[in-house]
Amino acid sequence: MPTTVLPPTELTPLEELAHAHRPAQLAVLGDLVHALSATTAVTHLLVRGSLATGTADRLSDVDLVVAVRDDRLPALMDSLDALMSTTFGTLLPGWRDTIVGNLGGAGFVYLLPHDGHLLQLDLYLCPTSAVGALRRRIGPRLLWQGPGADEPADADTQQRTARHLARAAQVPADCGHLLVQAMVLHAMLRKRLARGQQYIAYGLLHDLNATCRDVIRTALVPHSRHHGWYHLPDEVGRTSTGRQCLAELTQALTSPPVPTMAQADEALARIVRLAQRIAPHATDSLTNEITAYRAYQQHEEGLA
Amino acid sequence: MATTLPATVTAAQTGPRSAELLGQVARLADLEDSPVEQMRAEALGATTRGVVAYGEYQSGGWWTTSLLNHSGDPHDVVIGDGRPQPTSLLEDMPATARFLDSLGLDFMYVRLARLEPHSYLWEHRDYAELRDTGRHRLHIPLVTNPSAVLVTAGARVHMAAGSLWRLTPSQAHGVCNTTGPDRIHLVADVYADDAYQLLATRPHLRDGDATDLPEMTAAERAGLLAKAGQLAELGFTGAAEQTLLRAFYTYALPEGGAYDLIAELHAGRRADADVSRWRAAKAHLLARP
Repeated sequence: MPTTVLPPTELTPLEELAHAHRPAQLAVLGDLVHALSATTAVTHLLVRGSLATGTADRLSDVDLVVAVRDDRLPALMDSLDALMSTTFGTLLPGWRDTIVGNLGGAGFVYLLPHDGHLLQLDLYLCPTSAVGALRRRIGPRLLWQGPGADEPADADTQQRTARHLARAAQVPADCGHLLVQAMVLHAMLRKRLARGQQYIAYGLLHDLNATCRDVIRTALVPHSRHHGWYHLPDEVGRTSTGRQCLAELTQALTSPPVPTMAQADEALARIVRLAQRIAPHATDSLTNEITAYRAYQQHEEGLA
Repeated sequence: MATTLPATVTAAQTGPRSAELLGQVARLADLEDSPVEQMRAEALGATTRGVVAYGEYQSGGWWTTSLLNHSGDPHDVVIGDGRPQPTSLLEDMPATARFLDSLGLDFMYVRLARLEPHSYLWEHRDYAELRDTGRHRLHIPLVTNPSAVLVTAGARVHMAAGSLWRLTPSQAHGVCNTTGPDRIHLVADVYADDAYQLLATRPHLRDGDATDLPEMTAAERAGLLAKAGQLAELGFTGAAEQTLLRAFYTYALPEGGAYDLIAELHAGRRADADVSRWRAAKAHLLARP
């Protein structure tokens, strides 16, 4: 049975109270359903995570699975940033989610200013041909199903879409994308620290430090054949600037593995600082977004 | 008096569009920190966000509350000629009332204007419906951020806090707050008199106040129309139109150029009713029937 996200037409006083005080995320979820169900490209909208299980709190994110007709998925993926920016006012371009498991599609994380806070929106786009397997695997709740949702794409179309998804996953991130990644990971890290979830915080700090490494390597050795932590001193340490960057990276790696909020903030500040030196074009193009991101986090801190 | 006139105009005003720009937007005076801080606190603590008015001019998110108007009701935001009275909201904002009084100006209308994140006032002209008396619009930024900008004369101007600004709203202009947080300005429409002339002795812009927007290349135009076309083809017509409307804030377009782009998009889709709608919107918003 689909979950109803629109308020019933007639409410008892108690239901009115519950509706008025529903989590902010539920209102955003309703807007997402309204916007995404307007296109014939989308066949299913499913909610997962705490909003599906009724355990959402003030910091919870919105987890939405969007099933898209196989032949329209590439176009919707290409248009997603523009759609989210114009329709919802997302602060940053979507970050290609590398934490979510492979469910046959592609995940994108957005940060949405909402009533002075930043809400995290996790959108998982999958081809309609893969939604059955996805539902069996993670059991999301169906919110909306469009006409023709059960019409399967032919095998050629499915393969073309799968190739498009595979190619998109292989595109290397430039420094601008890495800065977006850093802000999204930092927002996730702060949330986990606020909740006292130290193991997840440990993992996210590691991801943030790896992002710092990738900014350095991408800016200074853009055609490197090496990945991860291999050959960093050989490649990056040839220049004075590179050695200074490595010293900053070493400082990051020798900080406590589970950070305080201030240490988490410093991890992001370090990445922005380094990027301003070695990839100024990337920070210049995101100046307003970085300023706004910090303002929202300071507002959050003031409330805490 | 909480204002200080600049002794000399030292700012760089040498860009190709500087003279035209200075006629449309300029700093008039610097403000003392203390009254601005007090007014900021009063604005942030206001008991109402006001009302959304002039809906056809905006994407949503533009709230105004009257401080001096003809009815005394802060939610009456209809602008009109005459001698205004304090609203009940201004009576709860003593520092703001003192500041306005200190200016000694002949006010027509004063309001608080809040622009939420992701909000755009599309390119338009004001005052078209009012009688042709000399009047000026003053802006006192109380809360702002670098993404909150005015676009006019092919340039983007961030009205920084700490100064009193003059805007000539009868010229085409638009305002946006792209990333947020909220922008809150005290906006005063005043009649031109001796007190105003004294205040406006040295209009100026400082280095960094204005950025000339680039011309749109043919390739950029084609790319933008293709992006909007893809959104429209997917069924997101509103998002497609908003994508093109935002071009006004990115490129130095001819007047009404963003509306022309939308009409071109719809003409390509053979959506004749939408073409007519946006041509009419252009004429209405730019007061050029």
